[in-house]
Amino acid sequence: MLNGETTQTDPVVDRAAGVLRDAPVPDGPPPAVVAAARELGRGVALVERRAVLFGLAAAAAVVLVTGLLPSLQSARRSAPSLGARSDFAFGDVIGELRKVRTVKYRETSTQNDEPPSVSLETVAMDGKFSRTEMLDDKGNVRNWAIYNGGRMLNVDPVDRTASLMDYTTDDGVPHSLGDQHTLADLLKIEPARATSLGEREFAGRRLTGFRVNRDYDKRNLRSVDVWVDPRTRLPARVEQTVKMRYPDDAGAAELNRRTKDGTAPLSREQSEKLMDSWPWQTTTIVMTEIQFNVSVDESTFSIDPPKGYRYTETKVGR
Amino acid sequence: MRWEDIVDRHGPLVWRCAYRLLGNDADAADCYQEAFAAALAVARREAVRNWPGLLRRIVTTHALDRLRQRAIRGALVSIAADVDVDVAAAASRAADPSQAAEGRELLEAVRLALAQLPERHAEAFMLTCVEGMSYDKAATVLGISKNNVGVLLHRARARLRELLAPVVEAGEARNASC
Repeated sequence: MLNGETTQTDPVVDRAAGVLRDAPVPDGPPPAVVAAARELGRGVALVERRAVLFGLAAAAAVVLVTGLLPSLQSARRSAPSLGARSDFAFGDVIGELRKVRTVKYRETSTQNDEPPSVSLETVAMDGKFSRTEMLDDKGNVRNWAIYNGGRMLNVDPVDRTASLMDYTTDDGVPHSLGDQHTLADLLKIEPARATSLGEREFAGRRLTGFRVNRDYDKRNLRSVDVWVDPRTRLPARVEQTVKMRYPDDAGAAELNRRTKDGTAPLSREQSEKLMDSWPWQTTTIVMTEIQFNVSVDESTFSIDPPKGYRYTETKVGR
Repeated sequence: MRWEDIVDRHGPLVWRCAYRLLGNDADAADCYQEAFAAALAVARREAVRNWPGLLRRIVTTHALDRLRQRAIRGALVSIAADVDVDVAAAASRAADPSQAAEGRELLEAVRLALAQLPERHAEAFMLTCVEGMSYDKAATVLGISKNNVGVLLHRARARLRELLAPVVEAGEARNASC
């Protein structure tokens, strides 16, 4: 055995290990890939050893006070943030989410006082494939959209139309579109920014909550509450709230008038005052019935249009 | 230590680990990027004492995930299409063609078998039997006890034996009849 420790010998398994160990590996990766990896952390301050020793002591103190006695090793692995009431941190949740291959969930979106819209999402977590089915108020599929490697097919079975938007370059590389579903967006969160919400019961399940404030600016506020199943450390319910200052009809009409009749543009101060006067528009997105690593057939993400549908294709330039 | 130095020093190890499991440039390059992104996230939270160990563990985990994704898509059935042609050709030129073909077939079978193992079992196998980590180091990197490493490894080997014995025996039978 390579490491000389095991007493187990097995010609089949040893041969397998040898084949893998000796597998030919070309020089690489390409310089552009190395450059991108270097760029990831350029100028980033990496934690020095002194700081983590202090952090370990603080984490150990917190868990002793609460009566839990995890091993020092597990404290190092997932040091809870001070004040957290769980034995795991939001970073652990993100870690588990990164291992997920596919996910399926129901998403209910409510804007201001309008009736909620409901959709079912089935996605591959690699971000390359997703399928979203919009439901009507009876729970039937009203239309659906499929994202597949930079191309989006929208299908309307009532109008019998299918339109493909192609967001790829001439080389087939996706551009413009970001993540195609809200759950993958969680992977962008810096775990240290999460604060604890303690525990709450949802439909008979006791979940552990974390909140992350993701405000863009003072007029574009966003926060996400992630309620986690403590057994799996995976989200069981996610609530995202977006509050944005948005012009109402009068505000929009005023902007249009200024544009059309060439009224002198507003000063920076005037613009700020105008935007601050716009009402808040609130959108709430709730994700529930979340199932991870569901079996998904590749045909789920096919962007072949249904037969007999009126079909259009649009190439969207970069 | 600067981040750029970490990438320069340990990049070849990460590339080698990724490519061994994935067998093609594109997947290995993606896995390489993901591994360094994940490692950076760790290093921003806590001091890293053992960069090679951490990176081996992260890249192995990500590469095994990709192997499982391939298995879900059924693409491993035609894994030859996922393996870089140039590398396969170079390997075949270097040895007896029939042995080289058998070696490629076994390599593909090993990758498929690893994708079917529970994640922790596959990780323990890769880190100790392929990457050559001691049980102590593997235990630290995996965050488990040394005994647990032994248990995981024992189960991994047993399952791999079940999955690979038919492939190995078929290859030996072909060689014996040549």
